[in-house]
Amino acid sequence: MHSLRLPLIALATVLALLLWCFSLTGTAPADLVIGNGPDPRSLDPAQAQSVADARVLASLFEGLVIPDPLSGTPAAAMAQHWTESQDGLRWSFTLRPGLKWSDGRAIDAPDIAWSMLRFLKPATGARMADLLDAVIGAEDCRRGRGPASAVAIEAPDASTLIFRLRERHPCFLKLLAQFPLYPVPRHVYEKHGAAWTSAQHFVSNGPFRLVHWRLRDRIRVERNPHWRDAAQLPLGSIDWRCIDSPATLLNLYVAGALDIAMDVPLSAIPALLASPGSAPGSDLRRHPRLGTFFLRMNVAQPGFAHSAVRRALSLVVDRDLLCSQLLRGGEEPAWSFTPTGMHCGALPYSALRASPLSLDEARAELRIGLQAQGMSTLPAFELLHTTDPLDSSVAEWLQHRYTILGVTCKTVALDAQSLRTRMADGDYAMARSSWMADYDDASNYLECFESSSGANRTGWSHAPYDALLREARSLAGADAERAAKLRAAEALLLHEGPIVPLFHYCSRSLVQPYVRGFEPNPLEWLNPAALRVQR
Amino acid sequence: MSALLEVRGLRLEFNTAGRSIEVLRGVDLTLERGGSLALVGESGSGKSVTAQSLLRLLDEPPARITAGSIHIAGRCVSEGPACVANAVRGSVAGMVFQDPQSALHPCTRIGAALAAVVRQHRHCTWREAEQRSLELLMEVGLDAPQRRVEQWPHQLSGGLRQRVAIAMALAGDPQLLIADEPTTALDATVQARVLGLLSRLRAQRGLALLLITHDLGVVAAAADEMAVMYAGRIVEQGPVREVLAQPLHPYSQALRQALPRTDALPRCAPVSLRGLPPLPEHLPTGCAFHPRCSHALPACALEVPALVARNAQHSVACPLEGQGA
Amino acid sequence: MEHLPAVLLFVLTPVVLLVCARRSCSARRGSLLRRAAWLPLTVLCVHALSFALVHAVPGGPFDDDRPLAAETRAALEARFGLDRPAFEQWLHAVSGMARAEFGPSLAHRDHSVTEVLVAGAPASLLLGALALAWTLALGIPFGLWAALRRGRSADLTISACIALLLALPTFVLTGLLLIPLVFWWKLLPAAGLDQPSAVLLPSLCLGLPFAAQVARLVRSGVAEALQGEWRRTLVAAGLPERAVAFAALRLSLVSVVAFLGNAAAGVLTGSLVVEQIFAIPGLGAHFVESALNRDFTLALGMVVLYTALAYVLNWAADLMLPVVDPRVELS
Repeated sequence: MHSLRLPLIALATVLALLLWCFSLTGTAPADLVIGNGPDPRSLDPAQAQSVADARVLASLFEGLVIPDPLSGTPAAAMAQHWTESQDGLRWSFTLRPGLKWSDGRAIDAPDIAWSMLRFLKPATGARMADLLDAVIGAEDCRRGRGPASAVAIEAPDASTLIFRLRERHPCFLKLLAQFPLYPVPRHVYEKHGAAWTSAQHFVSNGPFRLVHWRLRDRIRVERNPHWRDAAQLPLGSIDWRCIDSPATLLNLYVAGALDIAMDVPLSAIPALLASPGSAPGSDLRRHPRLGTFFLRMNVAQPGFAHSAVRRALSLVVDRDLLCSQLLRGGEEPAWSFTPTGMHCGALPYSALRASPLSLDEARAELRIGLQAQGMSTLPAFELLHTTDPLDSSVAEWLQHRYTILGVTCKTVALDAQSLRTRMADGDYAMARSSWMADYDDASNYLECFESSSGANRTGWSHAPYDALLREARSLAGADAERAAKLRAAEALLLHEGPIVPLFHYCSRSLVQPYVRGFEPNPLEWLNPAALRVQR
Repeated sequence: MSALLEVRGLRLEFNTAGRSIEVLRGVDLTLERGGSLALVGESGSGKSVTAQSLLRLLDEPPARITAGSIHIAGRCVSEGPACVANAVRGSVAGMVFQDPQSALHPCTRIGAALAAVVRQHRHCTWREAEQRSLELLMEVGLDAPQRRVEQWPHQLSGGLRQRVAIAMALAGDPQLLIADEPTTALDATVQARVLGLLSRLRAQRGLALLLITHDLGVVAAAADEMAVMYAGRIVEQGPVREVLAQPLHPYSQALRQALPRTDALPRCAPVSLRGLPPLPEHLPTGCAFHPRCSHALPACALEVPALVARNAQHSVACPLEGQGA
Repeated sequence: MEHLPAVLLFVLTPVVLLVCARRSCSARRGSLLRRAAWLPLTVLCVHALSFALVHAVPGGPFDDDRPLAAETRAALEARFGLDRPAFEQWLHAVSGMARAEFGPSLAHRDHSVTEVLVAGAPASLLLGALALAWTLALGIPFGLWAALRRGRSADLTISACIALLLALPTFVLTGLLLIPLVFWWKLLPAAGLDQPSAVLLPSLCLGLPFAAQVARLVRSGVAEALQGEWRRTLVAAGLPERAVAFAALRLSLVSVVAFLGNAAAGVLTGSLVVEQIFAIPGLGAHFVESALNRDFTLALGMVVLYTALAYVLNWAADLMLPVVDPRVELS
């Protein structure tokens, strides 16, 4: 029966393949399983991107200071204490004694200085390389115009690190707590180059160390015995599940496979809120986030040049209705650009709130704006949004809303990169945008719309606004005065500016009742060293 | 001891689209063990339906036996569901069909097809069944059966395939072979060899043969008895030599006339056959042949003539009893 | 010297194979050689086309809500070789492909494309193989059952299920199975691939629509096969209903095997949704994500892998055809 040989060989191959594949399943569960989000772009702090990436990095690394989002003032980490000179231009950090990398090698101040310089070098391609622009020589270095030796980050001895700034910065300490500035192990980097992030070489300095990373599945970290406080660390291991679909996170959480789900599908929120007394409804934690969903308007487009038109388009949108009717996930209506809960330095910052116009006022504004441009009606325009379902429904809601003003807009769904390209090219009239705070300071938001900012992308250039922000920068150290300038700038932005803030994001997570140390906060920051399980 | 095959007053109708059409209207057939009977008629006369109904091969519905009985080797196969015929299929009566092109399953090797039938009828191992298949293939005259069992049906010629079909029909060692136009689709030389094979098998196995054909030449070569069918009835029955030499029914005479002249058969007067055979749903009254019959009497249109014995073997269903010729 | 493997694979191998095919005396071997020769050529063509397409779409891998400084962008482009002329990049990609190196992934910066593919392949293969197993294990018996009970209630029920399965989007089907099996009866894990049973439900969800198609093919195939005259031969020879049904099934398998090549390709590309819903660490999601992220290298790696797989699977299905139907000649 030679005709059977071929199918038999095929069958045997398939069986062998299946056995091999099955051998890849099966992992013992970690002490804590966190449904996090998509795979990090990279475990190299300079390359990582999203808030979800930052959470994973925070378990592997720690900076000189770590964020304390609730108080707004960073807390000590690698640095034991620090001093700021009277003029705010010289920061001196003293490292804790006995700091070690996860391979047991000692960490000294020159290591950290080297790591900061690596972050600045253009070859590293760090996404947020401008973080340290306040440091003398840093901007020249990252732009390839000056040598690394000219950057004023110095380590006079093994435990002292000194930064000298070219101008006073309102929140330099908050910058240093940012994940891109986590220290990179020089000895590993110099040995393996870009491959230093692979699991077999990876060395870090945080409470946990990397065990393995399986793409689209999980990043397993375990207690780093060389961490400064390893004995007090409650958890032996954490699984960061790399799952991009919130619906899957919910499924896994409900099935008991996750201890924490860092995202919850918007569509499930009403059902969860309806049963607050029982799981999983009782496990829902929501907190306002430092993130704003808004629309950009291109002032170069016909009709959009006049601020009255833009004002009419902004203030006719009833954000309260949008949040209560369409979103229903706890998002806060955005009557300002900066989210609530923002700080200005160490002080809480409260934005001026715009108030909605009555329909008659809005129509009047639109008429005034159009007349000033010699138009009778606003030409039909396109509203660009991404293919994300939430985006699409918001866009359709707006389209309907604008018919009240007699304005025709066409919604156009694009993939995220195409949308960015069209925005960067100025090839749009109105487009969906969002801004997530890098650090908790109102200037981080408002500086987006300075004429010179690369994040502006609207063509809006307003000299008084630029002047107010410049003045605010010069007031670094005097938080109250600076806050007044920023508030004035924001009022200008809302009145004259090219944006329609729609809502402030809300973080939604599910946390099992036995998990302790999870503090919802505006930055969706998670302190892995504080997490513990108490059944 | 009763005859091997006894059909009495068999009536069968097809029910389609709410109408029932009677295609067999009282068929009587008798075949003794080791005998051979040819069932002759034009297409549409019901001879093929008769043959298939013997083993209940027609789909039921639409086919339905309304009256009469079929006994094969003493077993009644006309009562009850079609599966009662399982008791005789293959084991008592085997059947060979007209078109060897489509009669074999295209995706089964010759050996496997035969062995499956062998194993159905006797308890044996696959190896024994394969051995038996080789013997069967040899018996039906295939050369190099070792090679043939590994072959697929499409690799064989029409004649060989018909031999394989015969071997399958014989695999259960039946006493009766029903051959439904077994040579019609074959060319003349192959036809003669297959007929020769059937005769040899009859002689060697003591096999009874029911041969369905429209070809009187085949009848003359392979059968002892013959029955002429027309419109679902037997119109004449008798020994082949007698019927061919002296057909009594005008229809038999017409068929006989169509046969090319040979020296073996005496010449008889030409009878013209007008028109087409009637459709079963529009049968004429009385004798179904009367509209085409050149000797028809007025009474022929009124009553159906019964099959009347002319002598001990020869009977005819015509009031003229050959007088008209 | 860098391009030597590429020249060997994409020029020399096809030429040698084609020459051998022409000289070969056996038609079967000739067709095998020809088919093998066209594999690298097909991959090369698809690669070139995809390369042109991914570089033609607007946006790049380094675009971000946060504007990137020109110097940083230039550094990144230099690091990933995107600053070179397109043709040179393509040539580089082709010569890499010949060595099974597709370069670093632009979105998964700690992984090379080859690593990403190797990491995802087992899960996807497992899922796909089991989905095909479900396809056959469910499609053939139910199709046969429906064909044998044609017009009766079993047939009507199965036909209705087939129509339903073909109409339902994957995520609805998934939900319908997930809720009872995972949440009510807690029989299977919700997602992930931590235990072997975790792959049952995703593969079932992936396989069911294809099973419905197979059932439909078998149902009509068996019904048609039973019209064949060989059936009378078998019945007259005394073979039982069961044997006749299997013989009819045997004939209907020809269309099933012909369909399997397409089904395998469909399972590969259709695994995207299922892998996402069930958090299967496979390849499916990379297919769309790499395009959305403008991860050029990964997108090309996926295209090449899937092209080769689809080619080989269709080839395998064609090779299987003569096994199930001896009348088919290899051409």
